[in-house]
Amino acid sequence: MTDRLKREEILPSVFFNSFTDGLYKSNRISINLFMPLSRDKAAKHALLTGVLAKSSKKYPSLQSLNKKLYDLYGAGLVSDVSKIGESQSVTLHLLSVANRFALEGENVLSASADFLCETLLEPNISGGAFIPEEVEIERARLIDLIESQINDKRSYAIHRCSELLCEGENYAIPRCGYTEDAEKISPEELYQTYRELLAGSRIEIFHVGSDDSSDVKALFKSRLSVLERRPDRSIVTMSAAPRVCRPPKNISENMDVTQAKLVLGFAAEESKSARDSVAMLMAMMIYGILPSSKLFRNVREKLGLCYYCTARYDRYKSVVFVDSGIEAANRERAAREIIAQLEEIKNGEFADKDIREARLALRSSYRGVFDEARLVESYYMGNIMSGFDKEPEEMAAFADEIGREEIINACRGMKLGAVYCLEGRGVSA
Amino acid sequence: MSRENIIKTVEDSPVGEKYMILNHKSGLTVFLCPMKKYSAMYAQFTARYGSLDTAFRTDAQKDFTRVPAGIAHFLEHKMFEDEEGDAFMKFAQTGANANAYTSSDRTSYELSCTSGMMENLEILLSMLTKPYFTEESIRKEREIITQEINMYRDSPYWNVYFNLLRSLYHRHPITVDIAGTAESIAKIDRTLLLFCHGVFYNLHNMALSVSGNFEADEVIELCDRILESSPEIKIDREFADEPPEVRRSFFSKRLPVATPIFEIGFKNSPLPKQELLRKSIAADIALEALCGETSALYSRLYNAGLITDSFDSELACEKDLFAIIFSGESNKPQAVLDELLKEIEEFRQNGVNEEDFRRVKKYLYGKFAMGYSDVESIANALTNAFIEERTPFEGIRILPEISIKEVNDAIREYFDFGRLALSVVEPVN
Repeated sequence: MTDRLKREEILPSVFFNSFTDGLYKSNRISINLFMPLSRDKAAKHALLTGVLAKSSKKYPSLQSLNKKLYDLYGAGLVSDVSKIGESQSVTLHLLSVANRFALEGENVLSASADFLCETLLEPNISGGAFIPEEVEIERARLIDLIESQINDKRSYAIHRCSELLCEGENYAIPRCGYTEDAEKISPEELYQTYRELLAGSRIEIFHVGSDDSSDVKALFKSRLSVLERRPDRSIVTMSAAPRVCRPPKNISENMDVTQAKLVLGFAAEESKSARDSVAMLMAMMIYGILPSSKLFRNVREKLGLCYYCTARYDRYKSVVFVDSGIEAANRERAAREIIAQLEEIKNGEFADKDIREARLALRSSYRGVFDEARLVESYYMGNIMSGFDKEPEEMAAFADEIGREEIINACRGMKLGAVYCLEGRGVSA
Repeated sequence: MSRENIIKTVEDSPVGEKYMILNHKSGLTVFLCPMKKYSAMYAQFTARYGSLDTAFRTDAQKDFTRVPAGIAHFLEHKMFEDEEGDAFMKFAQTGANANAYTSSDRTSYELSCTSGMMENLEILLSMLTKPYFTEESIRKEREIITQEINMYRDSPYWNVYFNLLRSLYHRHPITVDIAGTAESIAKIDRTLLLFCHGVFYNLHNMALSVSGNFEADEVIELCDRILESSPEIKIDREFADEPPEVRRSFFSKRLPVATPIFEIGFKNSPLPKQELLRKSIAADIALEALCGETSALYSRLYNAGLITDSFDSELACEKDLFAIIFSGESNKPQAVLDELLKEIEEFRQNGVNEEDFRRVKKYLYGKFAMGYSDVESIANALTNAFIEERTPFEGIRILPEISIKEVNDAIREYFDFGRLALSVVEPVN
């Protein structure tokens, strides 16, 4: 295992990960419960994150729970669901000040860990169900969250393209599930889901921060040991890339928007090793992640077609989305140019300077991992999820070694699978 | 006028970081906060020049000059260009991350890197002190900015916010988008850009804040070598004569959103500069007590399904402007407003409860302490002090001194029911 991060399986499929350094001014503790992403559970897990973070047995109202957080020097409790490949994670996360900032010598870290355990393990329930009024409030909030996705046109368009690219696969299920599912969940069913989550999930706990971890680890071990665990050992987070059809799927939708959003979805080849994943990342940086990328230089700067045109790479599903905000009339031109730029990379038409820049940017971001607690957590969580166990320095060393051929090979298998465009009404291009 | 560097070292900042203030002989104010245990260096070069500065004169001019809206932002976009092309490309060659933004009161250029610190800083300092633009590149930039303006136009959050400002204010420049309008930026040309650069990018009007892993002596040497001293220019800004009353009390617009989103604003007279920080912290405490997450009002509205956890309140405290803004999502924005007014009335009668007052202060203290947890936040705090012409990290020092009376006074003074406006974005259907 890595030597910096302390990682231990404290109970069956419950892992405690810690990294402490007096440099930090806070302590972050997160509990992440992983289950396979499924239509049946997606909305239930999302609803659960709402209900769990609003009350507990000890703090049965939102107001009393929040007062406790304020008393912990404004500790921030966040509960959320995320989608990692085709897994879904229910996360409770608490950020609190380092003990040295406590004005009366309190152990804020222990109190925070304790609070987080209570929030997860001792919810406010009655008769084998969550409190119906609370479920209703959170249901409305969840439905609103799902429906409000259209408020941000950029992420909405990317999501629509991913649905199109991965149609029929679990990856197409939205992070928070669907409205029609959220509408049907009963307080009893939700409690049942909660029990199944505690019993069956793979649990990853992280403590990254200023103060020593041993009390936190002991606390989690003793509190979680009472659970009847039947962990699903088969939970994996890396999933197969989608199969694309020819010609690529193509959909346009209309909405009252001034600026059209064009998204191209590609399936890539799965990375077999950490080194492969770095090569693919470098290819995508050259293509459309760096500010000096080919997409930025050509689609934005040379042709002036857009304000943004960037690529994002999801390594857990081996998919790439290129999204751009354009005038609807420029749609074909922009799409052609986006595809042409990728072909150039596949043909090796990029400068040594581009490789050097990708290398430098990666080296810089790997080197900066330990500057911030949240980066430490996200780096090592990524390691755990991808199954590639490498320190940031080792990843940076790969970047130094990887040359033109490996970069070309990494992205050679990329295939365009979907084109989605959100356009304004009335004015057709 | 002094032509020597003057350095002052502050050993005991409330956040535990030692920093230096250098009044550089060129006129530039430099803040240096070496944090050797971090791997990244972060630098921020800022001009006191924001979107509000559209009418001004220097001590050499008799009359005010009026320039088109959006020019500070336009200049920000163009400063990345030099004879050899785009400075973004130069930063890419060194692995640095560079970015820039324009707000109402400043234009800021940021840089972060983990190697080649002085080389990067040299690029940044040279780029900002030597403007270079061609008519052709200005024309292209205009197209890109037009796309940027269109992108924001589609954002319901942007709409609800600007509609609120345009309801509260009759002619204050805050009512115009930071990027300007398609019409205003059409009037921007090379001569105007150079003129504004000459006025606002003079070193007496700028600050450089550097934090993280670097050697202070090297930054000073670099400044000595690159920066040419310039005569001090005094800039006098003219603001529109804004009447105290609001322009209209309600405005609604229909856009593709799931649930209505709203903003409520109370217009106030600008706070006197010397009391600005203290009064704004008292107002922050008042807002937390009134409608923060531990307040009775928040719980009542949340449990009644009238607000979601996106509900928030903030102070808009700008040059010559002070407003209090509440924002959120609700099917009944008017009901939220009615409840808010009732609660304000209640607080006016009874004042803030002593226990809540103490708890909110503890919460804000924790927020301040955790707010300085990375190199960026430290440099930001130093820059803020320059813009607001005060000592860095003052907030955390003043907070314990604020009395409950000051908070109650804030509640009595800052919520004039006759000077409020409600802005709503409603769903299309």
